Amino acid sequence: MDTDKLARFSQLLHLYQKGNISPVEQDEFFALIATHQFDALLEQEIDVDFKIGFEGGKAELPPHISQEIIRNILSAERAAAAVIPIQRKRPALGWVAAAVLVAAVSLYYFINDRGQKLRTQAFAGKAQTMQNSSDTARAILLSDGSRVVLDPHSTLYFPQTFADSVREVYLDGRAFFEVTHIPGRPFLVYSDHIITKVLGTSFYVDTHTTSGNEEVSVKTGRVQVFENTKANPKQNTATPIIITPNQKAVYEPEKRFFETTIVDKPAPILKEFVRNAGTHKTQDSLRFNYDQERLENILLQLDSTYGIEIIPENPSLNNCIFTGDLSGDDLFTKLKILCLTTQSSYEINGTRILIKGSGCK
Amino acid sequence: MDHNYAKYEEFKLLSLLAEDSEYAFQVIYDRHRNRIFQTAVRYLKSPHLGQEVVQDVFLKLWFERRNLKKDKPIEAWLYSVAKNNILNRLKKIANEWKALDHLAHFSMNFAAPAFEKAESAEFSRMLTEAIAGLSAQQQKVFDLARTKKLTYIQIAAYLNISPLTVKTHMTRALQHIRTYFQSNGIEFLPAFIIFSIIFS
Repeated sequence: MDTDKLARFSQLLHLYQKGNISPVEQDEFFALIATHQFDALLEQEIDVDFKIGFEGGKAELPPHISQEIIRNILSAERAAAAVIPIQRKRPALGWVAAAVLVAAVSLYYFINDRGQKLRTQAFAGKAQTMQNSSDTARAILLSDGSRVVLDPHSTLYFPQTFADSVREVYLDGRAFFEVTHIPGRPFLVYSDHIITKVLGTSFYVDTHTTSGNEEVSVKTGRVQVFENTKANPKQNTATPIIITPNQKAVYEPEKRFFETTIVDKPAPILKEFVRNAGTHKTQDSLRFNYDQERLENILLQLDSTYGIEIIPENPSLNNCIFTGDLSGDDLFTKLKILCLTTQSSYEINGTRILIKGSGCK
Repeated sequence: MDHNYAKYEEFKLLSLLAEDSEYAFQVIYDRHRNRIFQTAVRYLKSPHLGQEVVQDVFLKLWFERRNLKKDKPIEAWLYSVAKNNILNRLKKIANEWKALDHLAHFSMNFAAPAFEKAESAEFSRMLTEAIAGLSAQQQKVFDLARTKKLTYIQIAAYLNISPLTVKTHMTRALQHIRTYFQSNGIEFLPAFIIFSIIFS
């Protein structure tokens, strides 16, 4: 066989084994396997892995799955069935998370001293550390089914299993959280200066901003943000605040104060998307194509799409008429275009947007 | 452990196993299950499929317990059965994967790209609309691939599904987007071109 082809195949195979294969490469790899030209090579590789072992192979079958398999086999003889499907059980999430860790990112698994210290401040118990020192985001599935996408050069500390009353993690860096809703078990993200508390939602926490502030941005649901008083044992704590989708809480360690504002790139609120997926209603609600429309109605549509209050300072602004298609633009571009055509301007005031101008008759 | 003793011990275990000892079966299972599980996950990229391999291999051991050669190492027997099981599953996945690609490229007798610039406002508006029509899971997979630039294997681990399922969602999503563009009067490109435009 062509040696170039063989070399390419083994290159792809090694990327695949390590889990570092890009979608395009994976298509190529599976297309090559399907030719059956490389069966002998594959067989050799698997043989070597069995006999010698390989790096990163530390995932273990969790005890309850292991026992289940034994039970299935012993009872299969009585039933005389050749194949028994393994039942997929929801509570198996804990060990799946561990498997994901080892399979996908074993290289980045280690405990660091500073993290240990901060982590023990945040919660007691056995902790896992996920340090992402790569250049791409890393996905983590936690034992409660919550998901975290950890940005490069960020670290997440989390317990192997969460406590019964509360779910606590510690973050250094930036991450996106999608929290599974469990009534009575709040989810807390600790960082140096703040604590973010949620009941089931998705949001970003960033402790590495260029300004030195810590920021929390909400995508769906509601989030409560507190000052981390364990790290800041002075009196007069900053007043906790609640933020909603497309809002952002900014904590300035110097001032020890929370400021709420609007995220840099507001997105249509996700809930609407999912609920109406596939219906014409969604597509209409995302269409911003206007013919002789009153500004009042346009602002109301933007308000409900982005969940951000948009207030005309002067009621006569409502009378202005706009014609044009704003569908492809982001919120702030839409506003710029609207303001240009109605001789007005907009200003972000906390979590609201004010429209200023003399208006129309 | 002394080599001869180990050999003797294994001979004893296999003798017990041949006499239906569940204890002997459990001892052999505990010794080898993790190596088999780890290797299966290395090639199949799914803990769930790894469990299935372990179950298949030890089910075969239990069914064959009376026919095993007691002077041959059981390890070699187990690894050979496991290797074939993994290989067959991997080839099956590869075939299904290829079939999905075929589906995506099928009926792609379309002309040149209608959009020169993917960043045009019209393109992004239609893309947003097309995405809104995807199922929740398709939206999720598509979003992870597009904005977080995660690979199939990473998405699979994140969503606790197999990479083949991820690929299936991706293919359907791209097909849907293409159909949506077509129904809006845009004779559109094969799926892989859409893919490269959206992901460039």
